[in-house]
Formats: sequence, C-alpha cells, structure tokens
Amino acid sequence: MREDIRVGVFVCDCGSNIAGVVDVPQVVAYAKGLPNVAFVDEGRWSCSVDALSDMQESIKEHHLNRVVIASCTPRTHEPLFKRNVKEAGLNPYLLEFVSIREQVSWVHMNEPEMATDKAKDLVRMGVAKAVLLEEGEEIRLPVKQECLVIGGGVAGMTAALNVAQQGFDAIILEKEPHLGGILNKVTTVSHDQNEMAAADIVKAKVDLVETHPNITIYRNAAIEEIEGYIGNYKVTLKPNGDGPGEPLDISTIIVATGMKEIEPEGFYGYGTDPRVVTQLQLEELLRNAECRMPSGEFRMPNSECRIQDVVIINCVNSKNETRGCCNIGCPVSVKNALALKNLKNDIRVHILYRDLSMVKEEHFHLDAAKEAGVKFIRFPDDRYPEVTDESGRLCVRVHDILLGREFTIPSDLLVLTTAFKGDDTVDEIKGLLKVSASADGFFQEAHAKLGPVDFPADGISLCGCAKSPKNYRESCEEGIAAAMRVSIPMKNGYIEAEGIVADIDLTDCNNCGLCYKRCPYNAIKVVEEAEPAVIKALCKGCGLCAADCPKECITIVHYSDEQLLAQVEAALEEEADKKILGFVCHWCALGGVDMAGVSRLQYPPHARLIRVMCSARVPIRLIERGFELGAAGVLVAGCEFPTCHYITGNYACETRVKRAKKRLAKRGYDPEKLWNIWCSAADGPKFANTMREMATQLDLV
Amino acid sequence: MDGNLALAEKFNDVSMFRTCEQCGCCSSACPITGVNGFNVRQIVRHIELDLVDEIAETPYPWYCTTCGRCEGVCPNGIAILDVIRPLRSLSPEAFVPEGPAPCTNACPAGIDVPGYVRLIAQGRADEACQLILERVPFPGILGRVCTHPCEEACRRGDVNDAISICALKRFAADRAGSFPEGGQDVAGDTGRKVAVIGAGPAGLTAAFYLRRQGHQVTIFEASPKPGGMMRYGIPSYRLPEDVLEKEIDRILTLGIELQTGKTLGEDFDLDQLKGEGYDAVYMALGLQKSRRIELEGAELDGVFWGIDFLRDVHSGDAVTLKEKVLVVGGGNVAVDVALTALRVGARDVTLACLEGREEMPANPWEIEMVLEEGIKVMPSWGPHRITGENGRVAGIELVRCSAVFDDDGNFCPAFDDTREMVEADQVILAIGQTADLSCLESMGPFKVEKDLLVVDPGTRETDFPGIFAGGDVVTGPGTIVQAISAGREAASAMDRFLGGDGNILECRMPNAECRIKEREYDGKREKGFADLGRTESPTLPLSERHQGFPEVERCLSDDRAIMEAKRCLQCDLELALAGRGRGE
Amino acid sequence: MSESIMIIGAGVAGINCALNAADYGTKVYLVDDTPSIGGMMARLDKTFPTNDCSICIEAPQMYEVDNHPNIEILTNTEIRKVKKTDASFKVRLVKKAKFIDEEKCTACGACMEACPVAIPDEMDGKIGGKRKLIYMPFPQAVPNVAVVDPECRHGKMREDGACVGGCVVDCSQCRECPIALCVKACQKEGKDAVRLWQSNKNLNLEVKSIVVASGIMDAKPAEGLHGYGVHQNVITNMEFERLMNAGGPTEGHIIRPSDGKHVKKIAWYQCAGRGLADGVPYCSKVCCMVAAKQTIITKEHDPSVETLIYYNDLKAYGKGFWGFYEKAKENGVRYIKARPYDVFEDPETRNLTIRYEDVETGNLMKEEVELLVLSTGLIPSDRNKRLAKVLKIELDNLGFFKEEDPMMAPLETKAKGIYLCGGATGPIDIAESVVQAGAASMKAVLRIGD
Repeated sequence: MREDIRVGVFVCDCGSNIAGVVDVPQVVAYAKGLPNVAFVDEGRWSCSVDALSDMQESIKEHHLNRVVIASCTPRTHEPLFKRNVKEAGLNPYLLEFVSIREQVSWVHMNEPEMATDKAKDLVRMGVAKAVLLEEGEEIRLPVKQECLVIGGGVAGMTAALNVAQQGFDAIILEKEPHLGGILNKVTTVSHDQNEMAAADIVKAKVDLVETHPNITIYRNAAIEEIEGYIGNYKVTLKPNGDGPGEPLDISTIIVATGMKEIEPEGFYGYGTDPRVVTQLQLEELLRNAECRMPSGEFRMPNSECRIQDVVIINCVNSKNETRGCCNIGCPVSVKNALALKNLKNDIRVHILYRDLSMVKEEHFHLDAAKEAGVKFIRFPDDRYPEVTDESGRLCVRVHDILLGREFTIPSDLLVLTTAFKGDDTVDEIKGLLKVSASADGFFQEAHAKLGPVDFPADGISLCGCAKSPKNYRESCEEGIAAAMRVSIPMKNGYIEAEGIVADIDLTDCNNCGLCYKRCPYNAIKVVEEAEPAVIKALCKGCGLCAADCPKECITIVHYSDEQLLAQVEAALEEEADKKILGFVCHWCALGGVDMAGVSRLQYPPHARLIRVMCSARVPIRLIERGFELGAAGVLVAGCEFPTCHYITGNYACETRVKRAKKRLAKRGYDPEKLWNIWCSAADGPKFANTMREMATQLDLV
Repeated sequence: MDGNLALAEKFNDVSMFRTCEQCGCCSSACPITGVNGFNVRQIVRHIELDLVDEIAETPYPWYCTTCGRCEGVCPNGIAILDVIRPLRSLSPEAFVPEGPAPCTNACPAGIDVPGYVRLIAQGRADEACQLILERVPFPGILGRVCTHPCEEACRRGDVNDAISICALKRFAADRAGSFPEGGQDVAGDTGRKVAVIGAGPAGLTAAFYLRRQGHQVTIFEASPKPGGMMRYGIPSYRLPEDVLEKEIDRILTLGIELQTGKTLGEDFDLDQLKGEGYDAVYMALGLQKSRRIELEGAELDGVFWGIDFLRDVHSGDAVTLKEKVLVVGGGNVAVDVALTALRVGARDVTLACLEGREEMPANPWEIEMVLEEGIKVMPSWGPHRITGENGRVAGIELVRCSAVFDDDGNFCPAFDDTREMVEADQVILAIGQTADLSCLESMGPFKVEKDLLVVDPGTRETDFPGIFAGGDVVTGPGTIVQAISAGREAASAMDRFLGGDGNILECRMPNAECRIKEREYDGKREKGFADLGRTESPTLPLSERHQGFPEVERCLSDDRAIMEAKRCLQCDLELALAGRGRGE
Repeated sequence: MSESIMIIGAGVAGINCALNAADYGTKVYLVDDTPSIGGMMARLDKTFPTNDCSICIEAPQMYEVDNHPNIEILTNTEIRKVKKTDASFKVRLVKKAKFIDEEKCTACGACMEACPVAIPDEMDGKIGGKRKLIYMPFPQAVPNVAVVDPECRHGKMREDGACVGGCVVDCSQCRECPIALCVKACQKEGKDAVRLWQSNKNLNLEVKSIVVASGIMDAKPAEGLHGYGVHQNVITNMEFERLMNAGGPTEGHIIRPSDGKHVKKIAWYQCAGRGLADGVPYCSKVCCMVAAKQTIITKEHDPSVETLIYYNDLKAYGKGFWGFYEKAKENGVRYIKARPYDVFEDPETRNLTIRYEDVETGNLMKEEVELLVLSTGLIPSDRNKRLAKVLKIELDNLGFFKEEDPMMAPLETKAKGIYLCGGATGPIDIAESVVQAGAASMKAVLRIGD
C-alpha cells in the first residue's frame, strides 16, 4: 500500500449494456476493497457530459491521483477520458482503461456470474497497473525550415518548388550538370489526352526553380555524409563536386533520386549491334535532328540508310523470376511507335508484347497507334522472340498467340523495352539515411498503402521514380505530396510524439547495440562514448527494443515491465489454473476483440487480456511469469501479417514466441499452452474461435 | 503485305478492325466457334495484321452464319460482318456454296423457302403462298404434314434453332385467299391427252403441271375420293379434310377430269387408254397394302394392319377399339396408328418397335407427340406371337431385339431370349407398306424390283413408251413432298415427251438476285437478332384432342409468324451479296 | 479571410487530405454525405499487394480524424451552395437528420435490437446482408453512432411495422412519438438519443479552399449481363469482397447466395461489361489486382477451393503488383485469356456454365463453376454531377472532374482554390489516392494558383 497513491475507479453501466450482465454494484464493492483505491463510483453512462463533469468533481474532491475507467473500449473512448482527467488537472498518463463491455458483458451474456468475476479481475488488474503509472508528457523536437531535396528531376524540382512556396528554404542536389533528370532524354510526355514536349516541361520547371529566391541548386553535387535526425541533420557534400565545403544544416530531406534504364546486356545483341537500342535511346534518336534525312526519312546518325522496319520488344528483362512489371513500358512503347509513325507513316512498326498494360485513357493512344498501322503481336510468356541476322537485316521470329502461328518480321531497328532500376547513388544514400531499398535500387516506402511517400523515420520523404518507375504525372503528384509531408513539422516548428516512448537506463547497458539495430524508426542513436540514446520525438513506443534488451534496461513509458508484471500478477491472483493470460496489441488484435464484442459473439470467459501497443512489446520473461503463476495458458495476439502498425512488430513477436516455446519446454512447461494468433481488427470470429479452442484444449470447459 | 492493300480497300473501314483488342468476346458468343475450326476472332486478327489474302483463301468466311451475334457483343463496336462479307466475295469459287440456299437445296420440290419466308416477314402472306405454288400445288397440306428436310438444312439451326419453315408455309397457305392469283394459269390447248392413274400427291401434282402446260388430263382413281395417302393414310387430326378438299379442288378447277372408283386392271387397262386417245399415261399407284409378316396369332380377331386400319377409320367404317391396344412398328405410320387408336376408343396404347429409342424411323417430333399424349413406347422389342382366347386377341409376347441392322447397315434384326408378355385387346401391326401390282399382271411385263416398278431415271418412262410411273410405287415409301417432287419431275418429262419444252417452272415473284440489285438488302442485323428464339406452332390442349379428330396443330398468329420469319438468315441474299461484292 | 479549408468526401483520400492539412495547422471541415467517414476502403476486406486488412489500417486514421483538434467532421451533410469571393468560398451546407442525438448515442445497439424491420442493406443486400431501419453504418463507424433510415417513417416500411402501435399521425408532426420501439429502447437504456422528429440543419461556412475527394463507385453490371440479376450466383467483385470480409454479412464465410453452400469453385470475369453500352468504357486498372487478391484470400480461407480468372491483358502496373500476381498463380489460380459471353445456370444445382473461347488455343471451352464474380470496374461517383454544378467546375467526358492544366498544374481545377484528389480524378488505388491527398492538401493549405 502506497500511502500517497489515491486511485479512483469509475465503473460504467453503459445503460444495461454492462449492467444487464455484470453485477456492477458487486464490482464497485469489490473495487472499494482494493489497495490504494480511494474512491469508486458507478455511472449509468460514464461518457455522458454530466458524468464527465461529475468525474472531474470527484477527482478534485477526493484528491485522486490515479484513475481507472471500467467501461467500453480504449480504442474509441480513451481519448475522451484522457481529455477529461486532463481538464480535472491530472496528467492524462495517470489514466488506465479497463474494457468490461467489449471484453465482458457483450461476450459472456449467458454467464452473468462468471462475467462479474471477470470484470472484478479486470478492475483489479487495472488498479494494479494504475498504482504504478507515472506522469508522462508529449515530447517535442524543434524543427527548422531547411529542406534538402536529393535529385533535380521533375519530382525533385516539383517538391522543391512546393517547399519553397511556403517561404522555407529548399536545397536541390543534382549529381548531373543539368536539372531535369530522365526527362532530358524523353521526347514527349502525356496524361490522358494531353501531350507536351518533355523539353518544354523541363525548361518551364528549371526556370521556376532557378528564379525562386528560396531555392538553392547545387549541380554536379554528391553527398559525403548525413548525420542526425529530423530538425537536426548535418549534410556534408563531397569536396570534388559543387556546393559549400561546410556541412549544411538541414531539417528535412526529400529523396527524389530517380531511375535509369537497365542496360539489356546480352539481350538480342544489345551492346554490340548498333541496330539494337533501348526505348530511351530511341527517344534520343527521335530528338536528334541528324536522324532525319533531307527527304524526311528516318535514319541512324551517320548513316545513309533509311529505317523502314522497326520492331519493338516489350518486357525484355521484366516480368520474370527476378523482376516484375516495369510499370511504364507499355505506354512508352506505344507512344514511341506512334512517334515513328508520325515521323514517316510508311515506317512499319511492330510491337511484340506479353500483356498490354494500358489503363483508362491510355487506351486512346493504343487505338491511335493501331489506326496508324502499328502492328501488335502478342507472344507467349515462355516463348520470347528470336532475332537472327539474315544477310544484313535483323529478322525477328515471333509466335503470335492470338493467331496461333509464327511470323518472321524484318527489322532495321530493334527497340528493347527494358526495365528500370534506381539511381547508382541509391546504395550510398540508403546507408546514409538508414533506409531500405529493393534489389533494383528502389527505395522502400513506409507503408504500401497509407505511407506512399514516407519513410518509416520522420522527416524524410520519398517521391517519384526513386520509389518505383512512374510516369511524369505521378512523379509530379508525389513531389507535391512529399513536400507536404516534410512541410508539416517545418510549419509547426516541431514534431511531437505521444509520451509512450522508450527510455534507456544506462546503468546496466553493455552497449550490445541490439536496440539500435532493432528499432524500426531509427529512434535510437549511438551517441558519444557509444552509448545508445532514444530520440524521443522519433520513438513510436512499440516496445520492440525493451522486450529484446538482454539487460532489461529499456523502459517503455506507460507499458513498463513493472506495470505489465503487476497486471500479470493481479490477473493470476486467484484460480490461476482457470485463467488464460492474454497479451493483445492495441491496433489489430484488440480491434478483433472489440469486433467480437460488437458482434455479440459468445465465448468462454477465461481470458484476462493485457493491452500492449504492439505484440513485439511482450518479453519472454512475462510469458514465463504467467506460467510460473500457474496460468492455464498464455495467448499472444498481434496484427495479421503483413499489417503491423509498427512496420514489423508482429514478425519480431513471431520469432520471439518460437524462442519462448523452446525456453518453456526446457523449464518443464508445456509449450503447447502458449498460443500465438494473428488477428485483424475485422476478425471478431477468429478471436472468439480461438477462445473456444483454447478453453477446450486447455481443459477449462 | 502491300499487295493486300488493294484488297483491303474492299473493307469499309479497315482502321476499325485494327482497334480490335482480341478479347475473345466475339468468338465466345459465336454459336459455331470451333465447328470445323471456325473462329471469328482469328478472322478479324487476319484483317488486323493485313493478312486478308491468307484468310480469304480459306473456306472459313463461308462457315459464318452471319447471325451477327459477334457484332452485338463486341465491346469495341466492331462491325464484324463487314469483314466476313468482303472476304466471301474474295474467296475462291470452290468455297462458294451452291445456290440458291441450303433449305431450298434440301427441299425435294425446290421451293424458294427464303423467298416466301421473306414475304411473310414483310406481311405479304398472299404473295408468299403464290411463291410456294410455283413449286408445289399443296401449300396447306405440306404446311401440316411435310417432314421438312429444309429445317434440317436451315443454317439458323447452327445459331440456335432452325426457322419453323413448315409452320410458316402453313401460315402462308391459311392466310392466303382460297385462290391466290398466279399458279392458276393454263396454257393454250396442245391437243394432247394424258391419263394419270392414282390421285395421290404424285398423281395430282403431275396432273396439275401437265394441265398447266395445256394438255388434257384425266385422273383415274380407284378409291371413292381423290387424295390417296393424303386422305387415307394421314389421320385428319393432322390434316383436316377441308384443307385437303380445298387444295385438290384448286387443282381440279384447272380443268382436270377426275374419275373415281376406277381401278386399274378392273375397270380399265392401259391398252384401253391408248385406244381412247391418251398420248401418255402416268402411273402413280402408290403403296396401297400393308406389309404383312408371318406371325403366330395374326389371324385372331382384334389384329389389324397399319394402313388398312387408318383407311378403315377414315372411310368411316365403324372401328371402335377396346381398352388396351398394342401397336407394333416404329415408323410414322405406326405413330399415326397409335395416335388414331387413342381417338377411336383406346385408353391404353403401347407402341413396341424393333429399333432403339434413338433409331426409330419416325420423326422425332412425332415421337414427342406420342409421349405427350401418354402412349407408352417400348423400344427394342419385336413381336414373337399373338396370344388369344376364344379366337380373340388376349395379348402379345414380345422378344427383345438386340440389333436391328447388321454390320453393313442392312435391315437384319437379331433377337435374344428375353421375352415379355403384354396384355392387349387389340394388336395393330404397322410394319410397312407394299405396292399392289397385281393389276399390272395382265398388262406387263413391267420391270419390277423388290416389289417396286422400275423406270428410267432420266425420262421416268417404263419399258413401254408413253407409260410413265412415279411416286411411292417406284421409290418405295416416301414422304408427301417426295411424291410431289416425283410428280413434278414426271410432268416435266412427260411434257417433253408430248412435244413441249419440259419447262414447267414459272417465276413470277421477284427473285433474290433482282432484289439485291435494287439494294434492298444490306445484311445489317438488328440487335438481338441472333438470340431470337424459334416459334413453334401452337397446339390443341391435350384434354381437347381425343374427342373426335380435331386438328392438333394450329396456325401461327400473324405477329408470331412475322416474328419467326424475321429470324431467317436469308442465305440466298447473302450469297447474292457476296456475288455483288465480286462484281457479279 | 478564412484560414480553414473544406474537404468534400471522407474516404481514404479525404481522410488523408484532412490529416495532412490539420497537422499542418489548418482548420479542416471534413464533409461527407453518408453517415460515417471511411468511404469505399472501409468496405474492403484486404488491400493489395500486401494483403493488409483494410479496416485495420484505416480505422486508426479514422479515430485520429475524430480526435484531431483541427478537424471538424460533418457527416450526413450535403453541399448546397458555394459562392466564390476573391479569397474565399462561402458555403451553405445542410446536415441531414440522422434522427439521433450524436452527443448522446453510445452505439450500444439497444435500438437496433428493438427495431422490428430488417431490410437488405445497400452494401450487402445481394449476398444476404440485412440491417434494421435504425442501424450502424458499420461497426467501426466514425462518428460511432446509430442512424435512422429516413424511410422508417414512410410508406411500406411503416406498414412493415417500423413505427408500431397503430399511430396514424406522422411522427414528424406529432413530435412525441412514444410508440417507436427504438425510442423506447433508447429511453430504457437511459439515453434518449433517438430523435425521430429531428430536422435537417443548415450550416454556413467560409473556407479559403475546397478539396473535392468525392471518391469512386464500383460499377453495377447491366441487368442480365452474364446472368447478373438473373442467376443468384453471379455477383460483383465488390459483393465478393464483402462476402470474404469477416465483418461482412457472412462473417467471412465464402458461401453463395442461392443456397448458402460453401463454394468450391469460383470464376472471376475481368472487364465484365467494359466497352459495352451499359458498361465501363475504360480499363479501371485495379480489377486485375483485386481479382488476384480475392483468389489469394479465398485460398487462405479454404485451399481446396478451385479458382480461375478470365482476363484480357493483365494490369500489374504498380510496385509489388507482379509479385502479387505470381503469388496468386503459385496459390493455384488458373488464368485464362478469354472474355466469355454466355453463362448458363443449371436450374437444379444452380451452378453456372461458362462458355468461352480460350484465346491462347482458339478452342471453344466450357467450365462449370459454383459462383461467378464479375469485375465490373470503377465509375465516377454519382455525386460528381451535382457537385460540379454547385462548385461551378467541369467534368470530363467520362464524368470525372476535369483539371484545367493537367500537365503543369495537376489536381487543380479551373476555379482557383478548388482542388481534386482520389477517385474524383479517375480510377485509382488506395496508395495513389493517398499521394494525391497529400498533394491536394498542400495546394489547399497554400491555396496554390492564386
């Protein structure tokens, strides 16, 4: 009993939703007897405006310094009660939420007594944790207003312009002598039915960035080193390039390094035969005035022979075991075929393809090409065209599956639609920024769907072809979006993180470096004297580091080992052998639990669930402790793969649970009693089923 | 490929075909994809790749039914028939189907089927009937009882179901006035006299056309009334008497003399006719007798023979049946016998035949009617013996027939040991017909093979100059339309014999070719054309069929007839269209 | 001059646009004409190519929107009139009655239990989904409150017992309505949140810019297309999505509408109706991946289910999409290049026979399946026409919003201060919507174009 701790417990009836099943007065009476509990109140609707103000009064009147709410679910109502205790003058981190509706009354409707017992247990667990709660606070990290844009292609220039428009400083680093990137090699670009010369676009954009007072451009520049984190980067440029010798002070970074064609070495004589070129090389020929004969015919530079037959082969080194669809090859091949036809209509053009990926109004171009007389041959996935040299002309043999027979097509110019890869500097940059990239050198975004221009770490954005091959329009959109993402902290002047963060106690730390390596957000940095430190503004509080730290010297605020242990012990205080100890992640697994509740799916009432932010927070020692205290079984539930709110927490949890099973076996516990499920927020039935299965297999029924 | 460009100009809009995305919608919808390797998508693919020559030199363009289903489903709105038709006009002669149209080709009488179907579609039933009369004198009769080989040949059957040609013919006949104009003209008197023996379909047809050529024609008929098998062999629930009378009257009013009750060999003979100044004789004697077999108990009271039974019923001879009747036979006559039995008192009729269900020679739609009216069919059973009590039939013992034909396809039934007794009050044996040539014995010797008269296949003449023969008595049992065809051919041959040119055709209706020249036909298919379903004739409800002999099939309504006629693919015009494309 | 912005449409694009702008410090009005935010994504089961659970990743964003101090959510709200001034827009909105006091409702569900009338719901009706006349749009709805179907008080529904007790007075007139069961149930819970006599409320706002995120719709096939609407076991891919969703009407059991039987063989028909008179005229680009995803999830539910996809040209155009397609193939889905036309139903088994030409072989084939899923594509939202009129901006010939200068000023319309994102611009996937939402939020907070 801690003398200075005064816990207030507020139990909600939720009309008859809770009170109709759970004997709330009994729970209230029980709560009154718990250590450190100074005040208990039953409320008809704890979330109603009246009840909330009553709660504030009670907190003040009874000098409560910890609050436990036993009601619906923290996923929807925690923010409301947090605001309320804050208004009562209490630090919101001193609130603990107990779910007795979704986890009790709605799912055990036919067993009111057991439901009441479970509600009591949950309140006891909540109080046990509440006693140990500490004040927390949102953490702010100042962010100034300089943004570094790596890459001066169309995405980078667009991003820089949008950053600069707000009055922030944008610094463009371009490794080439000219801005414009890949567009410098392209003839035209189009969107829907609009078309523009690439040179015009580049010129317009370059004019804008060059004349913008807030934009600094370093051409022929390369990065030597990047140190620091959001709001606090030091970027050193290579001495032999353009740019200042001093390190640049940078707050945010936009990566727009672009892409390049993969040279299709070894395909169809590319590299040795000048008649075999890539799409970009064809575009360069189309831009080259020397390739026009005085008669208007098309020719190779320095040649007097007109080009009469052009064969384009798509998917040359893509859609295979090593690489997927090149994303833009089909529209590019059609565009260039049409350009050849427009140049001289009697040039015969064949496009040999596998699947034509032309979406929405790109079909308009396809129809135009077909009408202009471009011939499309569809070859089988496993039977690529063969090219031979027949008395000085290239002969392409191809099987058309649409006609079911083979053709031989003569060719003066063979154009290969090749795949793309990230810029050569990607390897270097990914090391400098500690981010990841694919084998082809495309950076990995934070989330395929909801974080398309973000990196996991705050303050760095990604746009354009640095992520994957894109068309002009998409690159522009991503440039603007990336500018927005980095502008938010620059506009606010800070970034703020919730108080649920890691804290390292260096007393026992032996600098093993595991935490640094494991952190998905680069929030742990090794600072002076090789000691790890948490950059709290970057930490998301998943707890992966704490669970893995061999010296147990990392604490997660609001989810400390001590607090979780208190919950475990409280859960198993009585009749431990009838209870299933469960750890559920806040984002998906608890969502599934809530869904089972909302759907009124009935399951046996053995589980005592402990909320963690991520399943990766659960250390083996807590699982073991559960078995030591005699739990019938232990459940660890996390997000369904591949979804994880913390990128890879569930993967870390999975490997850890495997280790835990081995450890349990060694120590004489039945590893089969440790369950591990992955449950989406929509999958109430899965959670309910798991409960039923566990009850059966653990002989609890 | 350049050589193709000139050819490609034949296509209205080549670029349209180039926008094909080869999705396979057309070929999936096409009713004949894969039939003989046909694939409409691949035909378009040829055009797309400028391979016009290559595809034009295949027979595929002619496999197309031109139903237009492909066009209706094409997501790119490509008018695919606009590929097919120019290709047809480019295709080598060898692949061009023989004209005028498959239905007409299949018709023994060569009726211009697409022609009259088209007239019906245009609401011109009178003219349709005239067009039919150019080839046959019995539109109303054929419209009811024809076995319609035209429908088997109908290309619409490849799309979904053949056109109800027969029902449309009946519609035209029923809707036309009793004496539509045309087909009734008689040429000036040639001074020649012709005798036709037998007023069945062959005889009447021959008389009709001979009379129209200007010859004097007299028909000698043994029965009291004309019509032959049309009257005595076909029960009147299928062919009402008034229809028969009307159409025979139409023939006779051309100025043909009919003498009934005159049996050859009894009341007159051939020499006598010669003596009376007849220049030529046409013997259309038909097959008047039921085929009989040796069968134990065949002599019992209550055993009838097929044709004889039908004739007796029709003649009004009081034939009343008791409860249970067993009919032996699997042909159309057996079917008619069974259905007639139901109408003269039988309650429980069973049809037993040697053939398996699929091999039965009766037309499928006839068998369906049998089943519909509740007659039990016992396929693969042959009669073994008829059992009797007190001289009356008590039942029949059937024996299982294991095979009807031998390996060479000849009729050679084989039986196993399985037997079955079936109780019956009557047994009717309808196992075939045969000619009664006894009347000729005194006049011969006529050449006879397998009980049938033999004639010269070109001239239709017997060994005796001026004596012609035709119809069932020459060919064996056939259909009415075959008999009509025989009569027409004989009339043509006899006209030549009598000094005419043998041209009995009359083409008064505008034919397909001239329509094409007038560009009335462009082959555009209306949306949903391919999916139009066949309209069958309405039928009398089962409950009303067995009181007497009311006609079972009814005439199509005007709307339905027009709807049905509009389903026609107009193969004749398609052929002409291709010819036009070729510059013909 | 107003510093706030308005976002029309609260699907994943609108939500992301709102979060960006609000985090930036701008006051945001997030307006949606449906009772909950979430849009189409809230209805999906999984998202390609990672198979992330859709609601699992969207719901946290929805709660964030709900709790964001800079965001005001206006659900069930329509834009009535927009007046453009030099630097701002004056907007008249109407908040249609939900017949619920949103402050009081706790989504306890007592009212729904009490409501006697269950009707097929808009989303899942075809596959057996039902809802009461007072209902939650979906379990994770934000705001998390019930809503009363306005039909409750009218015509047939009332005959069916929506308002029981034989009252002959229109409850909107009576304003007492003591007989409505939902009202009683709510009162019994002590909340009194059901307000059957609630009326629409007019709102006036002034904002400096507007983002149109009106979203996209799944196209319904023309009646009779490949048996849709004729044969019960022909459904759309959106209906299938709901079928395999654990939160859908079948709790994720893949059972077919005709007999509730667990399906053992399913065919997907890509590009259903595309190009046809009543179909979508263009490639909607997501359907290939949607079908691949659905086969993968189907196999996860039950590996013994046979799956096949009729397709034309595979569109695996995005990052990681090809690998996803390969995964579908490894899982045993049969890809058949064909575009079938005829679908016949066996009247006894209710199975469907599909007749098609296999384009790769040229052969005519037949396949009998137990369920046919039509991928019908995405079409412009039916809100667009009205919105374009109110906002005085243009639609393109397909019905999507038109950009004034798509090459140099993407997502901007001819009206300065009005921007586009997500499905308002064309068929689009989630990630692209989020990108555009980011870009549009930038333009909106800065009012780019002035």
